[in-house]
Amino acid sequence: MGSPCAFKLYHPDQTVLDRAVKMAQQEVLRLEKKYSRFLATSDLSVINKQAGGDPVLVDDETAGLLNYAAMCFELSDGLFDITSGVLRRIWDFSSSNLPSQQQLDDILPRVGFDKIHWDGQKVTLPNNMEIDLGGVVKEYAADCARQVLLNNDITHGLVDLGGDICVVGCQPGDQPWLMGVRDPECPNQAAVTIPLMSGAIATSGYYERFMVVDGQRYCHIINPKTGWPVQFCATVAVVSSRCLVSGSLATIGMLKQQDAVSWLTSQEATFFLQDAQGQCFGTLAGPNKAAKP
Amino acid sequence: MVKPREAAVAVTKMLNKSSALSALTLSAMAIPGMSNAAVAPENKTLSVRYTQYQEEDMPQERVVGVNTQRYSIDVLQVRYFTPVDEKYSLDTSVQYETLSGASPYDNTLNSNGQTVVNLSGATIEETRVDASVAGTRYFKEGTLSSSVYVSKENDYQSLGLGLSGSLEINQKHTTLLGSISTSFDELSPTPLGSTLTGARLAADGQSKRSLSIYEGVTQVLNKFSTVQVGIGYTRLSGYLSDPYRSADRRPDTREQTTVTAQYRHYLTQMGVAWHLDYRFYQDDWGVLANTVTSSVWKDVDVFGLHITLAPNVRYHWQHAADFYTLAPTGDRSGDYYSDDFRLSAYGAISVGIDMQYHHKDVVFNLGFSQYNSAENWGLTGSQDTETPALVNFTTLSLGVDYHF
Repeated sequence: MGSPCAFKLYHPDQTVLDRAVKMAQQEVLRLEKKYSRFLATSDLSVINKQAGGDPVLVDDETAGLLNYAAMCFELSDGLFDITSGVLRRIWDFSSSNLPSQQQLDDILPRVGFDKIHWDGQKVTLPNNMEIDLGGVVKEYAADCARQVLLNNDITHGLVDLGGDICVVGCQPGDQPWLMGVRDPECPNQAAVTIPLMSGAIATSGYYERFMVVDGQRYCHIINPKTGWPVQFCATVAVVSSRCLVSGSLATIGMLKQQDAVSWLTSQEATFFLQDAQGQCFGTLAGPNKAAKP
Repeated sequence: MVKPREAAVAVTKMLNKSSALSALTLSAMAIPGMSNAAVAPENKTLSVRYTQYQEEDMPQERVVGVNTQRYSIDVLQVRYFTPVDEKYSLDTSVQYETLSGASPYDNTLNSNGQTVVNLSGATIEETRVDASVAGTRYFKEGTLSSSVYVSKENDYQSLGLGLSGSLEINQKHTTLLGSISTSFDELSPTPLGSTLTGARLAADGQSKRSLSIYEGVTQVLNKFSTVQVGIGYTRLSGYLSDPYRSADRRPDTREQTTVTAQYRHYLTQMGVAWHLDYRFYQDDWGVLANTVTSSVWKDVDVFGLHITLAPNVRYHWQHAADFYTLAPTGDRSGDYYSDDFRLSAYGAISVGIDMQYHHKDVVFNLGFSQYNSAENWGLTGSQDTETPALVNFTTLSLGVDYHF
């Protein structure tokens, strides 16, 4: 998944543990393989290669993810867009070079979930467009791994896929897991610590990948409508019953910028938001607030 | 067809509070991987296992004749387990067994008035092949399996059929288990010399049937312990005597009842999983048996290798069958009689250790156990009757499992 992944599990029987870990690992690897942008044979690459061509019939799982992505696009008024991956081609965060307006104008027509045709079974991409499920698959994989662990008799543990964390069950002794949300200014410190008994937490932040040009920070979360990185939020962490939901709400929060706090609040999200000025908002703001997804 | 985007909006509108949280959760739950369905295993397993079973020689003074060697059995087992589609799995295994050595067929009294054993003179060399196939279907809340088993050796063949299922209830804290199985066996004893005579002739072509039922329940007690209790009933019918014994006459039905309990406890501070199993057995031949097995599973680092060690100990004792006798062959009377040591009163202790070493997708297994038995080791039901044929044996097993 391109980031450190960990399972923390408790079970009295080592053989049960070994089997559970193995199965959960396989589930994560299965999804990584299926939705990798880098593997030419992945289901995702097959869809992208057909851009401008015939419709591609997808399986139930991909259909579920595309439906979910469609829902995110709708609910975020077009901010959460799985077709925005092409913007990476003009935003090189290792270069310290901003793209030109001409580049932006050229590429923006290739972005827009409403331009693709998705009928619930078959997807057709217009020429030069592509979809990227990177924004949902890691979180979905964490949920699936959790489900696999539950099916393999694990009742205490957590799944951590690069900071997207699913609780399988509280720690032995009815103890919650303590989740630190990284302080955007001091990434080795926690801005807030959230005790979790169940559910999932996902975090999005402007510290993950960015460049600074003329004192201005440009992060990897890009508004698909303007083609420019978002500014307002430093980090958004969301707790819900599913990692996938937490992850997309956190990302939408980042994309909403100044409207993030009011939007997340109106959507009944359990969240922590720290803006670029260091101000904290949300139901989880403040030290050691208990979170109930 | 309603377009998903329209559906998304519709769903959102349906929710009283147009909350993205609810709508997204609903949409997320519709993706297959999120569902609760019992997921069939996704990895295949190929296992090869070799087991060496060696019975200790009998003491010379308790044997008639010079041969004191008993059975030695080598077993090679190959097992292949594979998922089929997303909801099924297939478990196949083939076992090849070679047996050599001698077995007790009779008792007599020596000049000191001690019972001594007649071991079959000629060393037996036999092979047995068996194969089994089991298919399992995984449901949302349980499993259903069926199995077929065939076994063939030169003087015995067996066909078995089984059906078993499990059902998870009470938020997966309780699992109900049930199974039913039946077998059809046919005897074709080997002749002693060139012609089939006596008990061997009587047994030739005879058959044996069994029907077994098991009901059990597994309960998660708390996060450190689980318990499984079960009750089983087996009815055997047909030719149940041993044609290789000089004077062996047993009833043609046998009803067996077992009650089992398995307890698993995880000791957090020691990092040890403790297994304690108890089995009570009683049949209408008068045999009553108790078996207690305990093992601990612990991960240790030995020379930098991460190894799982599982030392175990088992204690078994039983009461004799009503018709067990050591009376000299010619003096046996009554409807039924047998001097089979397995129907005698005795106690047995076995001590062993299993080791597992994982390396990537391969698991290496090594197991050793020593079994000893004696007439007077039973806690209850022991008798003064000698049972010179009681056996001591060692078992050594080596195995490799490859998961892919």
